[in-house]
Amino acid sequence: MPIIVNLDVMLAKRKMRSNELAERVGITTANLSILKTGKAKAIRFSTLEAICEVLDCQPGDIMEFIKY
Amino acid sequence: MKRLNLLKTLVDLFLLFAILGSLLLLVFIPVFLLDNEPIEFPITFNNKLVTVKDFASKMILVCYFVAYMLFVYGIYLFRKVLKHFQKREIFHDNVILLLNRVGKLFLAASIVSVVVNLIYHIYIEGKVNFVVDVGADSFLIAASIGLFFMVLSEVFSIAKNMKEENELTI
Repeated sequence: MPIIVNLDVMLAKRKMRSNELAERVGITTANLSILKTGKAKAIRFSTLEAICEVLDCQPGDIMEFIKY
Repeated sequence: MKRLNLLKTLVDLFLLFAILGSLLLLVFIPVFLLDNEPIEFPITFNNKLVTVKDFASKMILVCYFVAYMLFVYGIYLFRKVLKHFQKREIFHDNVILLLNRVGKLFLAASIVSVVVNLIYHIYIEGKVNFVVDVGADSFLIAASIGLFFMVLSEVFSIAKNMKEENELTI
């Protein structure tokens, strides 16, 4: 998929675990895993907002577009 | 799902009688085909009286039987779809495939029936009547039902994709 989600990088920078992020954002760890592994088809703005709020980052910090 | 269970029961009943009838026909049709003497008793097939007296009328009977078997096989596959629904497997890949096949079988059965009817009218009765049949068992309705199942298969396919997208929206 052209959009790569770099959540692991930001999680490492903030020294946060996936399950803690999932709990604070209000999504399940399964859904967070779907997001991290690039299987997600879409992300709601509300979810993106919550992730950026918790990780104190910009959307561009956790998502990257790569041309094939 | 009471209505689903009722539908499956009705389909099971139909299949039971259809399979019994088909087995009987499977036994008698080879006898008709191999016997050179004309069969004295008339056979009613698809509301048409077919008196088996020569090779052409035997072939007409066989074609009616083929159309009937296509229809029965379609009902059998439809029963499999209902079994999936009973297990709550609504958007299963098999359901989509089976609905498409059911539609094709019903359409094929209706086309074979109408062609055989036409041949029957030309050969046995020696005339062609142009009649627009608007009854519940008309060719137009039968073909439409076949196409409906094929359209339903496409609709289920679209719904399955939408469901997957929805489930993978975080």
